[in-house]
Amino acid sequence: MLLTKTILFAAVFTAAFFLSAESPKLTFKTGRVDAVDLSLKDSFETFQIDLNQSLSPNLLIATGAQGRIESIVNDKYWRMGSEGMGTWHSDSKFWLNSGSALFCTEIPQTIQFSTTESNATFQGRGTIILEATKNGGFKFIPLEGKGTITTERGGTKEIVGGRMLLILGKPTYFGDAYDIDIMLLLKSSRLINSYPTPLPTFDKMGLAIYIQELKLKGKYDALIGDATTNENLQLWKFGKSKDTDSKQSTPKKGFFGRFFGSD
Amino acid sequence: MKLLKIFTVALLASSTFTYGQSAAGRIDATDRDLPSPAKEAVQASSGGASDVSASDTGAQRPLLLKKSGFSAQFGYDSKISYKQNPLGAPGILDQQADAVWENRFHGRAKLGVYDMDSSVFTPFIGGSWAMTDFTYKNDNDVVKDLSTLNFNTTTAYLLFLMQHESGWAFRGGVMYANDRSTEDDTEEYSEFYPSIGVTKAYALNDNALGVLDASFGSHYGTITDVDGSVATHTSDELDHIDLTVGYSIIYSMDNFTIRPSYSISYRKYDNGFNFDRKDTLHSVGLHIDYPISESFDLMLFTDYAKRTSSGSHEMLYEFEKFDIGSGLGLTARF
Repeated sequence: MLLTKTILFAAVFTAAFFLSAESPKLTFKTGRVDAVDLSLKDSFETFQIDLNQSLSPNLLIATGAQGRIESIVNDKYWRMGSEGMGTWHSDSKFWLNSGSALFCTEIPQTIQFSTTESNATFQGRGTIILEATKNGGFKFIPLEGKGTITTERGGTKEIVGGRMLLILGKPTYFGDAYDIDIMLLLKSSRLINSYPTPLPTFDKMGLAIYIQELKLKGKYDALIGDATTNENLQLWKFGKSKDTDSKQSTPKKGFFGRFFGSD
Repeated sequence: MKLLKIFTVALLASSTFTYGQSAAGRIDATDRDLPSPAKEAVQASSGGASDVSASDTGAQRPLLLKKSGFSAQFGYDSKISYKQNPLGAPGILDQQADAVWENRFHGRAKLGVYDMDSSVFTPFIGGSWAMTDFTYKNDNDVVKDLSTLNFNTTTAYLLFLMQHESGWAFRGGVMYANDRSTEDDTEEYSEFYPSIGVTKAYALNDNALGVLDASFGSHYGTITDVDGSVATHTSDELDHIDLTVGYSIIYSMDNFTIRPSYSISYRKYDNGFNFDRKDTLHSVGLHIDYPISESFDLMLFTDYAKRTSSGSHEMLYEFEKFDIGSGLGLTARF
C-alpha cells in the first residue's frame, strides 16, 4: 500500500515537473518575428519562427514593428507585442527585455516575471500586462485577477484590478502604485485587441471596470509614460487645465465644480 | 330590462368620466418603479468615449478612486411637458391636454462595494421629493382647474444590487412612496413596493447598447377616499402585482445619447372594487440626453402609453397617454 502511494506521488510529481517545465508553443503570429538560438554560442544568426514552434528557453524572441505572437497552452495565454524582446524559460517563467507582454489565466498559477534588473513572482489568476521600462524594471498591470505579487525587498502585495505597480531595482522592490482607467486601456491596447482569439477573462475585466466606476472619484488629465529611472515616471498631461500639477487637474473640485465642471 | 341596461351603461360611463378626471384616476394611472442603478449606470457610461491612439500596452490614465465604496449623489431636475391625457382618463387620447411642470429633488447613497469574486454587491438607499403642477383650465370641464389636483410625491427606498460578471445585474429592494395633495395638504395615496429585477446590457455595435430589463413586484397601497361617494371602494383596492419587461437601445452620437425604449407590464389586482382586474400596459418612448457639462444635462423626451384592462370595470381603466417635453437635470456626486 505504502509502495503504491509512493509510486503514485512520484508519478504526480514527475508529471507536475514536466508540466511546469513545459515551453509554450507559438499559436499565433503576425508580422515579423525573429528568434536567436542562444545555445549556439558560435553563431548569432536570427531566423523566423513558425506556428507551433516551441518557445524553448534557449530562444530569444524579437518582434518587429508590426510583429505579435501568442501562445495558448495549458490554460495559459501569453502574448508579446510589437518591438519586444523576451524569452520563455518555461510557460511559468518569462523574461522581458523590452516592449510589452500579456499573461492571462483562469486557473491559479505561480508565474515568475523578470526583466533586465527586476523580478517578481505572481501567485494567482488574472489578466496581466507587463511593460518593460527604461530603468530595467517593469510595469505590472493587472486588468483583473486575484492573487499576490512578491518581490525580494518589497514583500508581498495583493493585486487589485486596474492598479498598476512599478517593479523596480535589484534586489527588487515595489515602486508607486497607480489606479488606471481599465476601460481606456482595454480600448487602446493592441495586446488585447489585435489578436484573433478573445481572452477568456473578458467578463471578469468587465466586472473590474464596474468596480472602478463604483469607486471613481475623478480622472487625472494625464497619461502615464515610461519610468526612465527608479525615481522618475513620465506623466503626459493633456486637456485644458491651467494647473501646472497634472495630479491636481481634474479630481479636486468645489461644490459648484461638481455641478458645472467638465471632464 | 332594456331601461336597466341603459341606466347601468350610463352610470358606468358617468363614473368612468368622474374617475378618470380625479386624483384617484391619476394615482391609478401613475407608474411607480424602484430605480434600476444598473440601467442608469449603462446609460451614464455609454457616451463620452475618449479617443486615444492605440499602443501595445494601451493608454494608462490614472484615476482617483475612493478607498471605501461609499458615495452619494444629489440632484435636481425640472421638466416641462405637453401631456395629452395627464390624468390617465379612460377613453380617447386627447383629454385635458395640458402643460405639466415637474420638479424633482433626488438623492442616493451607495453604502459600499463588496467584491465577491464573480459578482459585486452594492447596497443603496435613496429618495426623492417631486412636485407636479398642472396648468389646464376649462370652465366647461368637470374639473375646471387641474391645478387643484397638483400633488407632491415623496419616495424612499432601500435597494440591493448584485452585478454578476456575466453582465446580468440582479436587484431587490423595497420602496415607500406617497402622494400628497398640495391644495389640501392631505395624503392621497401611499404604498410599499417590494420588488426584484434583472438587467442585462450588451453591445450591439460600437455606438449602441441593448438593455434588457425585467422586474416583478407587489404594490401594497392605501388610497384615501377614491371618489368620495361610492361605498364599494376600499383603501387597498390599488394593491396589485406587476411583471414588467422592457428593452431599450442606447445610441451614442457625438455627445448625444438617444434611447428608444419599449416595455410591457402585466398587472393583476385582487382587492375590493378591483377584485378581478387585470391590466396590460404598453409603453413606447424616445429619450434624448445631451450633457451640457459633467453634471448638467439637457433632456428631450416623448412617451406613448396604452393600457388595456379586463374585469368587471375594464372601461374605467383603459387609456392612452402621450407626452412630449424637455427638461434640465443637475447632479452632484460626492
